[in-house]
Amino acid sequence: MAVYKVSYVIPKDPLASTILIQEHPPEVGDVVTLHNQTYRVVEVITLMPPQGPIHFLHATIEPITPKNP
Amino acid sequence: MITIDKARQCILLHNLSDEDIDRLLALGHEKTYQKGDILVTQGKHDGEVFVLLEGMVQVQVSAGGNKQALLYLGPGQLIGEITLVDGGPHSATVEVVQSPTRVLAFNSAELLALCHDYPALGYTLMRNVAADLGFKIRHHNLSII
Repeated sequence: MAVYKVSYVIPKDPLASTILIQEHPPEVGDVVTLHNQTYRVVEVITLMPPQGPIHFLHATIEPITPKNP
Repeated sequence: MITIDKARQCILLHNLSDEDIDRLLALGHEKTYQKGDILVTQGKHDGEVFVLLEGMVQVQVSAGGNKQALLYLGPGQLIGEITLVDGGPHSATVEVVQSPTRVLAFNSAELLALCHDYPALGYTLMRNVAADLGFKIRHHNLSII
C-alpha cells in the first residue's frame, strides 16, 4: 500500500513547516489542519522518486482566514 | 508494539525483509513522552536515534544565544539520524509538542553493530537514512524560498 511522505510549507511562515506521512496524497484545493490552524493546499510537487511504496511530495499551503476563505 | 506493516511506513525500515525488520525492531525500545519533554538536545552526544510512532515534535536549533524552530515532524519520521551517519553530537534540539508522543528508541552503536553483522541490512538501512536526509534537504530548500 502506498504511503505519502509530505513536506508541508507555508511560504509566509516557514517555521511552521511540517513533515507528515499520510495514506492519501494531498491535492490542490485540499484543506488541511496543522497545529490547530487550517490551510489550503495551493501546490503539490514530487520532491524525489518514490522508494517502493513511499512517495515523497511537497505541498505549499496557505492559511485560511476570514480575508482568505 | 509496532507491527511490521506499520513499520514499513517508516523510511528507515523500507525495503527490508521481515526478518531484517524483526532484527531491527528487537533493538528498539518504546518510550512515551509528554508535551514539553526534550527528546534530543543539540550538542549532546548520546547516540540515540528515534522513530516517531505517535504524536508530534518540533526541531529547534540554537546559535549565539538565539533559538529558532525549523519544522515539525509527525509519525514515521526519523530523529537523530545524523548522529548515526557521522557519529557526532545531535545537530538540533527536538521538543515534544503533543501529548502523548511515543517513539521507538535505538542506540547508534547497536544499530551500527547490526549493520556490520548483516551487511545487506546495513546497506539498505544506510540508503534509507540517506534518502530521508535527502528529503529533509529538499524540504528545507523549498521552505527558504
